[in-house]
Amino acid sequence: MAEAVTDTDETTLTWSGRAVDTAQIEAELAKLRFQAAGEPAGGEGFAIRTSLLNMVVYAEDPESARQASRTIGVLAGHHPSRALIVVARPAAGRSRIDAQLAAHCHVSAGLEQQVCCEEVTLHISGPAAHHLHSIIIPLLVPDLPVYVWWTGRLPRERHMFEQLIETADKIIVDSANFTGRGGLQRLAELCPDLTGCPLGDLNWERLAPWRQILVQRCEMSPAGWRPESLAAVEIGYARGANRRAPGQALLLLGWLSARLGWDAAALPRKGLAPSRLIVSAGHQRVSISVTPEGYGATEPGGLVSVKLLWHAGPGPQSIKISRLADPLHLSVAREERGRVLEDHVLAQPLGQSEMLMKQLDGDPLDPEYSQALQNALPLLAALST
Amino acid sequence: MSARAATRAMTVPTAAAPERAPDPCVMVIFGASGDLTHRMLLPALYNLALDRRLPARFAIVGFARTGWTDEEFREAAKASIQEFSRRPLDPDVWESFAGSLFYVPGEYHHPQSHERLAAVMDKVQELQGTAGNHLYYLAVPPSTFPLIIDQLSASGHIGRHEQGGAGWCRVIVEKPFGEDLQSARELNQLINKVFSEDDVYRIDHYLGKETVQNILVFRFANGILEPVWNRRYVDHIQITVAESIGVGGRGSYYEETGALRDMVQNHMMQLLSLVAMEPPIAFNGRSVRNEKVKVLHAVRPLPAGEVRVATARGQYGPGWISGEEVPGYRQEPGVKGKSRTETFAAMRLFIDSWRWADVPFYLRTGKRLPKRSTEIAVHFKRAPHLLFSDFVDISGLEPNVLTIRIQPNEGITLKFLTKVPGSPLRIRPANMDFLYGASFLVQAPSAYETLLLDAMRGDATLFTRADEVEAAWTVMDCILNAWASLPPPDFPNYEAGAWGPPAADELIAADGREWRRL
Repeated sequence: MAEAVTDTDETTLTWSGRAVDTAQIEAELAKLRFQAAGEPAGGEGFAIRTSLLNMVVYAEDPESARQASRTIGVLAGHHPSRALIVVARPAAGRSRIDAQLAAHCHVSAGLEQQVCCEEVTLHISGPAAHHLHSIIIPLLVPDLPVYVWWTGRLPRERHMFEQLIETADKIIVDSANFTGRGGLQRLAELCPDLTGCPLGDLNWERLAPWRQILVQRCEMSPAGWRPESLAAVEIGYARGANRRAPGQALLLLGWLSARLGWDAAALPRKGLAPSRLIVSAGHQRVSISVTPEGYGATEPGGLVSVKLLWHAGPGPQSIKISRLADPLHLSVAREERGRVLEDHVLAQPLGQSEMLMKQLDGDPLDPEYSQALQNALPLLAALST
Repeated sequence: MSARAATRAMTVPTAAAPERAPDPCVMVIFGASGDLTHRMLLPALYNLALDRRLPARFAIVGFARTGWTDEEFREAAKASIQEFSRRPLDPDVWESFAGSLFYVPGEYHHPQSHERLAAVMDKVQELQGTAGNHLYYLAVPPSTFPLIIDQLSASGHIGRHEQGGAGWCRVIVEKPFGEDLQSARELNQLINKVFSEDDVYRIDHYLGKETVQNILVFRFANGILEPVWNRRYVDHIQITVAESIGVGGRGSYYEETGALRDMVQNHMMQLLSLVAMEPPIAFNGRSVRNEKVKVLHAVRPLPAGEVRVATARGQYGPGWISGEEVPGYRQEPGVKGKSRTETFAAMRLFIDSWRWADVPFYLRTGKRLPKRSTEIAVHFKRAPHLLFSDFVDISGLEPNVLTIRIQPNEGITLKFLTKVPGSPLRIRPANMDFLYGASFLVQAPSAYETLLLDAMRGDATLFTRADEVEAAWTVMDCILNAWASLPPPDFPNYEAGAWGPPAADELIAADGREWRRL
């Protein structure tokens, strides 16, 4: 039985069923649309629906599914879509699909027409969970891009992930959730042709202010990046209790490597500490360190500081970007001719829905990210040995 | 009342043309104990009764081999209506409806059985005052048609009105209308020996669907479409009839038909003719069917040498659909272990006319595809010049597509490019869906309700004429003959749950296009 919850400017119609099939889900969605047309929030039904995309969310457990649902709810106004949130339990003995449906209809300010998004949460048990695509494809809105948001860790089995890649125009992960240093490596294995793989990463969005500051400060300086005289890169990341990988640090290093033309294969690291390595940049060698630090509110694996140091010459001796106790700003310290100039730059952290929105708005292929990931892999391998 | 509501109220016609009531009649259903009668016909007739759209003087006489009495037929009918009707049984309406149901058990080829039928019809006519009007429904396999037609001819009921007797006699014939051009012609000749063509109603239930009828309204009641509905603006058209079900209990029937005969010759060629036809001079049976048949005559028959590249056929193997493991076609009951029957067919056709010259029409149909979906998608040409190449990769920008969804989620979708809110300039496709069901808050009648009522009224617009059937078979015969002469394909060649065999993708990819993602 469908239920309706009506606010002044929002209506949510819901339905749930156990041991259902996709035809029944589609029929119930049609009924919700029918009902929404008869019970509009703002006086008009949504006989005309605008859809931009399909969003398929893979959630590890019901709590992750609820979290994903909240995130998607924020997107509804910008990205009218059909969202399928999938919780798979392949270990269960018998195939079964339980479904919860919701049609969220918002009336935009000043408009009578509703914008409605449909959300389908599927709990898929048993052998059917190994054939997710056979359940997802019938429920997609035809001829619209399909974005797959894989929340949580990457699967140990490639099969499930590969099936979703086949249906997807873009796969979005959050490498901050990967445990151990092998997460990025496994991601690259799942997407062997990285430059042609439509891959997005919420962790990459977290790096955006750090990347922007580095580009601004280096490219605005008359001396520029000076790759030929870069001596060292020192990165500090927040230590986590649960072995979170330094994903942000590695992606930033991969990005720097692509930008500064480092030889991606790290040089022999005989005698170096586990957190250090040397890479070659033309005739120069650059010393790199990636070290865990304890730092207050920073999420485990998140960047705490990034410092670039140059050999003597024109331009700055170093630039250091650091987190502050104030989460809205980053400190940028520039050392030049023996003087240190420090300022604070607004770098408001993005929420999950904002990061996701940026991924949805961007082109499916992000060559900068792919290149960063590709270049991070040999560095990761060197740091892991 | 808001200004908007007031405007809407003003546009509601105040004097709509009254619906023409059907003539009183007796409807005789041959095959009255069969599946079609109980799943489709009786529920449709009951719903017409519920809406008070049946003639005031009306009766149904069922005829079949099953040895039922009137009462047993009524009980079976009640059970069927309770199970298959789109609306629940109303005791008062049922009581009146049941009173109009009669049954005659008999053999289709026995003159004595038909004599008893004639006697019951005469009695019913006297009781109900049906004015000598008879509507025969052949809900039986085609092999039984000649037996029934011969006996009807001998009974003297048909042709009575032509000789000055009271009332009319019409016959409704279910598909398949033959299995090739030759057999279709023979069937037409057989029927036309007894019934004049104007009294023959070949039923293709697709034509009774609201959204199929809406194709005509959409095309010819909206002035903005006709100027762009031609080769100048249309790049190509895709017609898809996808089924997720397998052959189920129809294995032995399907073995003799296959996808081409079961779907393409009738339903898909009808959709093709509706979407490609010229505007008829009037909305009546003769004018609409004249235009449809012109399209079918203009479809370029595929020469044998071209069939290999312009068509693809497939047969499903085992796989997964909607989270369920399903058997392959050859594992279905009634299907041969080495069956060569196609369960998937795709083709590229051209219509040689001024309107459609060089515009490819891609048709595909299949069983055990990932989802059930029937639609016509009109793909328009790209904008001639895109201004935005400095900002976005214009190679990936998709052209406009207008989609008419027949089932499920009946409606119309227009796909267009739009700017993503905010900056910088980003362009993405958006679908604007007109949802038929959610727009008119009434349940549409079933296809059979529409078509049965039309047959009672004598309106043949939504029925297929003999020359249409033969024109469609002319196109299909070329393909069937060529397939028969080609080496047999390596069946099964697609997994249940896939969108057909790779050859179907190659067919359209060779033209630089791809099938729509449904």
